[in-house]
Amino acid sequence: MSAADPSAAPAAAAVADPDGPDAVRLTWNTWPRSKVEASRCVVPLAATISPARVPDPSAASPPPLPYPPLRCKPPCSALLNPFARVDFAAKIWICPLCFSRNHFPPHYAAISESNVPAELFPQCSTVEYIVGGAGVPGVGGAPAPPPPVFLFVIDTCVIEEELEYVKMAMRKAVALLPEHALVGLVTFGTQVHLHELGFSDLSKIYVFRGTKEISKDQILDQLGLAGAGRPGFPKMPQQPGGPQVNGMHPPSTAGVNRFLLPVSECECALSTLLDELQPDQWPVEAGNRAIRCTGVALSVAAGLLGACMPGTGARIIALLGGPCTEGPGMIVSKDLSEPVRSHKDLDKDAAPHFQKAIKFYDGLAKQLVSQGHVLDVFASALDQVGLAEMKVAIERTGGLVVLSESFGHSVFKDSFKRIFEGGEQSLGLSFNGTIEINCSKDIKVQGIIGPCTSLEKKGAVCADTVVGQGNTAAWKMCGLDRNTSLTVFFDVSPSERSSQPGHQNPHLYIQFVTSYQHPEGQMRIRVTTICRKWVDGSTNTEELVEGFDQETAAVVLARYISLKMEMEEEFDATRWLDRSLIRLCSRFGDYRKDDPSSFSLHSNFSLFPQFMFNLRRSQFVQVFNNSPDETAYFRMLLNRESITNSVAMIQPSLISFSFDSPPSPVFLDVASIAADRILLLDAYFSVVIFHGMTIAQWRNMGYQNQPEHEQFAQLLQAPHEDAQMIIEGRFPVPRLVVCDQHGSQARFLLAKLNPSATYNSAHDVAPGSDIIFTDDVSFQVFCEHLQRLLAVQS
Amino acid sequence: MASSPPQQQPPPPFAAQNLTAQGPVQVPPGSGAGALPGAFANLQISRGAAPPPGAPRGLTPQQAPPAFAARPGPPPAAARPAFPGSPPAPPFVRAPTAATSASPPFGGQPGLVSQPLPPFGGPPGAASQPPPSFGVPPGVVSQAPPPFGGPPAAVSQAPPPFGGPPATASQAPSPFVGHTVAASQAAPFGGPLVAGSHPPPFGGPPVAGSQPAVPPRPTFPGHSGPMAAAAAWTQPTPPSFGAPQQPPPPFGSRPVGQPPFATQSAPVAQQLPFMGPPRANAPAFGPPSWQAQGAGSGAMQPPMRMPGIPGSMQPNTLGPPGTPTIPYSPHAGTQVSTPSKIDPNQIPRPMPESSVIIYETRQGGQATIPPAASSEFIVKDTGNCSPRLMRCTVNQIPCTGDLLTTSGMPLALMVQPFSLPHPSEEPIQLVDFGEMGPIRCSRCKAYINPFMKFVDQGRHFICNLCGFRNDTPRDYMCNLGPDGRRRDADDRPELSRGTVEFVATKEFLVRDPMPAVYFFLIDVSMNAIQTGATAAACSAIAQAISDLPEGPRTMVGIATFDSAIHFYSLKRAQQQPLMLIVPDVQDVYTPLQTDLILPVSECRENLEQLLESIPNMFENNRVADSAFGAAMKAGFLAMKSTGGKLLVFQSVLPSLGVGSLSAREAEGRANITTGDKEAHKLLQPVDNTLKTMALEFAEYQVCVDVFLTTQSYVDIASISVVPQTTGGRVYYYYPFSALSDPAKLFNDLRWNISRPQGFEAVMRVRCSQGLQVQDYFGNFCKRVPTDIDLPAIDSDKTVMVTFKHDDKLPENVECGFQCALLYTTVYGQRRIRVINLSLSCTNLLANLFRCADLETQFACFLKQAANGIPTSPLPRIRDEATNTCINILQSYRKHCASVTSSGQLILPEALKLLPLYTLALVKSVGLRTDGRLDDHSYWISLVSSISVVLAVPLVFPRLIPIHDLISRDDDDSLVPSPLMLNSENVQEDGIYLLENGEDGLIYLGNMVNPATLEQIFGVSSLAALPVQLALDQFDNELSRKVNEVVNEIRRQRCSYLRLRLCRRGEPSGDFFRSFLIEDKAPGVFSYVEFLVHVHRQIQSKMT
Repeated sequence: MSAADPSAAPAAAAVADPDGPDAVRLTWNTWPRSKVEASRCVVPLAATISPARVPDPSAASPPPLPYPPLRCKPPCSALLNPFARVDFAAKIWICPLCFSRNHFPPHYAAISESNVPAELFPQCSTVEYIVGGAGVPGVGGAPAPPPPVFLFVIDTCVIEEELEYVKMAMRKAVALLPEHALVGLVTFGTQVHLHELGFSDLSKIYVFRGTKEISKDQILDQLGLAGAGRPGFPKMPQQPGGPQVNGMHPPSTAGVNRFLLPVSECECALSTLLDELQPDQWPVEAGNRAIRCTGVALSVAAGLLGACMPGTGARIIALLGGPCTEGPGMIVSKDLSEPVRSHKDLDKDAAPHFQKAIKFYDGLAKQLVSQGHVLDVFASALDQVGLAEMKVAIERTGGLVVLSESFGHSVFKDSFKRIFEGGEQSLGLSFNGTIEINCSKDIKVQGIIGPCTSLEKKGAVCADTVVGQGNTAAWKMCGLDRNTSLTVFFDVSPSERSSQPGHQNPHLYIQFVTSYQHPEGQMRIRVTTICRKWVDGSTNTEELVEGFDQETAAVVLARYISLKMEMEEEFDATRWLDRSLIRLCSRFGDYRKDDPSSFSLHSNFSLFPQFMFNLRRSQFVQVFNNSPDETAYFRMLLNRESITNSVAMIQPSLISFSFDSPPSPVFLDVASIAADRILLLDAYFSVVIFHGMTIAQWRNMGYQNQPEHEQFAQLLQAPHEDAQMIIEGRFPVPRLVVCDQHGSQARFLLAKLNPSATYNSAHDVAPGSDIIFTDDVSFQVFCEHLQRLLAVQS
Repeated sequence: MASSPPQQQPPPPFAAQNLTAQGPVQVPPGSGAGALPGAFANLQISRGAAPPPGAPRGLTPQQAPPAFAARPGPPPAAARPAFPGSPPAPPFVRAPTAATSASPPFGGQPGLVSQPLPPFGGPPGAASQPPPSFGVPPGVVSQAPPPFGGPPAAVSQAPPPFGGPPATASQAPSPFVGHTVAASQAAPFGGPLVAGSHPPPFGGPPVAGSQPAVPPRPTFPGHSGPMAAAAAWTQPTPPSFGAPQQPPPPFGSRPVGQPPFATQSAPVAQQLPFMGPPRANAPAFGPPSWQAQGAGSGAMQPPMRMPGIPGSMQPNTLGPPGTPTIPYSPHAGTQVSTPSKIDPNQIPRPMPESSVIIYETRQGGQATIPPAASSEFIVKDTGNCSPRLMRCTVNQIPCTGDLLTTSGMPLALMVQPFSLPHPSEEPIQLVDFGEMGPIRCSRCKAYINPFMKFVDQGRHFICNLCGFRNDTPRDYMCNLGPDGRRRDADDRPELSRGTVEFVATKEFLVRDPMPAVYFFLIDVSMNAIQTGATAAACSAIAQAISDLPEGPRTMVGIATFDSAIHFYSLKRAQQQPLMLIVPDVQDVYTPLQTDLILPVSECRENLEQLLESIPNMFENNRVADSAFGAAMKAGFLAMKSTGGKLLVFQSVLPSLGVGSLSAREAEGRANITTGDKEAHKLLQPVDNTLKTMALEFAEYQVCVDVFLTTQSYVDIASISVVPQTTGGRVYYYYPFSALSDPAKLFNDLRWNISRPQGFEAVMRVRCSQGLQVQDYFGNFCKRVPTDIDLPAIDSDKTVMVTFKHDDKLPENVECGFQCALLYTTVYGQRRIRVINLSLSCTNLLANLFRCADLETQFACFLKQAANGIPTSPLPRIRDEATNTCINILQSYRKHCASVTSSGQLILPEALKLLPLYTLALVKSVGLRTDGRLDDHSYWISLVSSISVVLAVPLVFPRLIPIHDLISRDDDDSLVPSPLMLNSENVQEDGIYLLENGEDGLIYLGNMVNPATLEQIFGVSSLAALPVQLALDQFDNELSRKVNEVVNEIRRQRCSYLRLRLCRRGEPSGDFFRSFLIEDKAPGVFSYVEFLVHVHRQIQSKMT
């Protein structure tokens, strides 16, 4: 007997943790039964899941189970879960997804109603199993997990100062790396330098030309790793006390570990190397960009890692200081008179290198995915570096990406440090994830948006329509971390039999099975099974409304249109959003015909128009305000972040600090600005502390330093503390902007506010408040239009 | 640029003294030399010793020893024993020389001028003196800065740039210190001997050319005092070759430096205006007995006649002049009826020339016939160039092509533009025309030369080559004297000397003159490491660095390679050198744009350190592959912007990357056994890859030298294309021995970089109308038909230029040849070396034969044969060589000696050794059917640039007994007279050295006296002899002598010689015997048989 109450779990958990213990959120928690009904819901049926999310420590979750899970018989293969009906007497369980009956294996013989394995506990809708000691399937029995591999790829076509920042960051990173982690170093400029760290006599560098595309086989061949690589890759740093003696390729160092060494062994060499690292020596002609062969550098890095065992968790960490100007992956010619492509160029198909570069990175992505390795990009440059082209490789491999203006900027420095930190602060970087989805019969999967790649494993769950990475029942995530979140799009396609009344099961089940290499090294399988209710939508709008999650819906829509904007030419996102909103409101809103003012929405929908309003104005839709690189960056993060964080990207939160009241959220509206307030804006990518005029004056006069005004000092301090909390919990680290009203930096706040007061509406500007110079409509106007349209339309 | 004032020219440190004298810088014999040495050293492209002549002399014998002892780090010059007339300084002697410390050079010595300044010693103040002009019109600079002489610094520098062959002498740490003779022998050889014996060379020929004969005078004329110097050259001085009269050097050793045949020096002095003394002119061979006949004939050449097989014995007095006959055997008259009766002792054989010849290139308005190339002579340039620089196969030019064809002889020039001069010769003078540039014919662009005729009061001049009448530039006008010559002709080198150098003006520069760039590429593949080849190369380079030209313009770079190419950045700032690996050997590139090649001054220490560590670094290298072609290409890319020398040390067959080769030899063996007619194809390059590469190298002025330190087949046929196209050469050490070869490797390298040379050169030979250049042969790259490009050219390289008639030449007019070589000196000056030769024309075949130059012709045959080997089967090549010989002799027989009985074999005097040399050629390594492919290919590559002097020895080696060196009493020459090359001369109780300029085979009989063995080799029995030979010097007279002899030969040949032990009954013994040309070998004639064969062939053609 199943002990779970399907509807209770999510509701209860939502209070503590918006994402629940399962880290799954759905746009609709109640599903219409038919295709037609589903499409009338306007917002697609979708779920977001964070497969490696560490549940809130306070929530009592069982420790990982040290045994392998039980599976339903093929083709279902779903894992045993709390929703299974168990016949303790017969030692049989019935799969809730396919209703097959399965016998428990002998070692489950002790099972009884009072002795239930953890995976059957009702609260254990999500459980983890630890499988295999080493965790690498296929390599049996090795006791220690393979060490993580970090291959740094550093751009040297930067000015001395930037390079110094890079070195500083690198030194910190090396100090933070676990002793056994393997490290490699590639530097590049006009040519690619692969440093052989295991060679002690002198600095030994393999040089690859930047102009020529080079295949993995060629690289391995040229490095003398061909053949030797795969089988030879040692599980552990080679025998202790065996430092590389003289000799180029002594047998002991014949493998890839000439280039990838445990930190403990190469720390010294690495620091010497960093000390002597110079900006690229090749001359830059006047009027030209530096020649930078990012593409080949990444190829070389990927090729080198190709000599590692597949399944070894490895990251390529690329630090880029500018655009690729030569060879494969080139995004702009070295001639400075040619600007880097803009959205306009892409629109007009006037970016000559774009498609070629995309193709190159697509190939690189495929290679990395097949090797199971990750590409992380830290781009720190004032101009673009080609993230738009690299997006495919970063996203498919589940890599991290950080875009900043300089290697000296805290956005880079702190973010970079974060990835090496352990403990609470750790990002929980995991490797080699695969995710499979099992669902109840009538549910199909259209695809996933997010940092993963299709494994092209066709299955019964594949829907005809494809969204994102689709047409498969399994996906690869080379890299994933605690925050990684995927959006799965579902389709309802009831089979004829199941649509017959009477046969209907009131519940639907979806099971996410993720296997990945935990940061601690072991291989884990995480199973999340969710249960939701079917409703007959045509008759029961109420129930549907109850099940609506507007935040998730807004985020899913944002992800969905971002994808459409990239995939479909001439896609008009604003119009599409408007029409969707109108359709949704007309379906679920209450109003009287021809009376716009009668319009009202259920509380589950109340925020949705505002989300849409802000989404229309956001960087995801209004791309022309940004460079293609920034757009790519924003979208990559939108696609991989949790719902809460993603909502902040769409609709920033605004908190007001003043003497009058405790810190409280205020409307994201220009009207929230007041002279005696401090506002804290969290727009995810940036955190803005905005001092009202009066506050700024007081502060400038130094009141906070006077003992009698301690309160003022506290008021000044409070937003900083809050900002710090936000910053600490976030990767990439947001940009902190501290500004004063009417200061130039104030634009970071003003750009996000609803322009309820503009220079056009200057009639009653309260003293101390502000106006925004824009022709954009305000939210009020937007809503009026919406109501009028609805009322008139119907 | 071109107009830089002479004074600024680099160096002539001591020029000052020279300049006072007008005209040629003459060093008074045995006197003022001391004062001049510097200048001399510098000015002179001295063939032996850059060291100022004075230097050696500076040491009185008695004083010498201490001097040396005292001073290890020698002043350059001194180090190099400059023997009079000796070829380049003994390269391999490590002799600490301390000229400096040897102060009063000739102090007590009678006859010696007390020498004011130690030659090299602390350079006298003079050193710093700019070369004052010569007293000639401005613009003509005495060639102070010898092209290679370089900056004054050179003087004090150990091996003067010029100084001839690599002399380890001056170098303190000599490479072979441990194991070579030279090293241990320091003092004895390098030092005192030299000094003591050395007087004459500098004695210089009498200045006044008109003085016919000067009686031999005691060695050192009695000049004394400072004024002696001045006096010396104004006054005809007898050439003082009188070494013999000199008191014997105190230390009892024979005067090393002495002219080999000094005893006979007297005759040298007699100068017969139109014909040299017989000795001088005629090939310097031939037993006296033959000459007896000729001698009396005055102007006639000694004829020689060989009675035919049945023929009459009577010397034919009716024969045309120049065709004396000589009997086959003394008894010929009576009983020679069959070949077997020919007395082997009477047949023509080379006779060593015994004295130094003073040779004036023109006398009485006509070209003189140059002495034999192999003889020792001092050239006085009186209008024609020195024969060392350029010599013709015939010294009179046939007026018609028909005449030439009839003679059967070739018409070709051998041009060796940087050949080492005799130390006593006047240096080539440098002429600076300022911005105007050298005067040239406006039609054919020939350079001004002594044969251009000024007419019309000097307002016009007529080109001697094309006949065009040019306007004389106003600045260059000068009135004509009563003799029709310009009044200033004698003051202007370009109007009075056969060879001059012009400062190149802007129009000759397409870019700034390139710096001297040396890039070393070292094979570090497994085999190279394990055989010690890498270590040898590294050590050779490390030691040779100090011999690179001084100055900021000298740059070096280094890379190693196996299956990848490893570059090194030696920038001083870097704490440890940076190794940059280029792994893509299919498509190479350079890993850095800068820092790979740095001025040597900036990276010397780093480089030395690196060279020391390379062998260790790669100690455990297991990579067997070697990407030779790719490495060269990569090295080339690194130096593409400047050009320069790429020195490659390769040890195995290049098996990887661009230009990789396959082991064709194996397939070749199979083919040979199956009698494949295409066997010679294996001597051709396998494909065009390396050739294409080489052409690109040449285009960017990169010259490649390849040092093959190998123990297996490396396909030299393919590899040699690169050096041959870029003006370099192949050095071959097979089988490489880590014991005995490093010394040679070092000396080869050292000589390679320190010998006189030039970069980015273009050469063109022009000739009078009626003739045209047919082709050029040698190591160069030819892009247009008229010019050849030489990324580098050095003193060892010879270019053969063949000519053909396109019209008749008038008999009364001389035919002119002009070779112009535009090049950059190692110090970055752009120069044009112009070498002129004007020869009279003749319609008489007899004249052609009389003026034939045997050695030059033979060099020509040798090169043509080598050239044909890769494209024709060997038997055909041998037949062609034999037929060439037969045709020439038959032509002579038919047209010039027709009256004599057909039963006699009559040989033209000038060509009497042609049959012998032809036989040697046919039996040579290159033309033998057996032997390894690489040996053949190496031989071919060697021949392509070989000089006339070395051509004959290559196939006709010298055989010298060394077991009895002490007991020899002909004390006058260092190297004993060679033995005839037949086995009768090889006794089982003897030890013999057989050398051909490349290899030195030491043959040990089976009954050698153990005591002798002990003395020479330090072992007491044959069985104890090591397989690999390092000729150490032991503390005994014989050992010293042997080493002296070997060193002398090394110096003469500018080659270190690969010494090998040969023993009877072993393959090495058979190898040795294969060089005994006169012997009968399976399938090949003995000398006597060959003569008979030739005679028969002629007879059959006559009838």
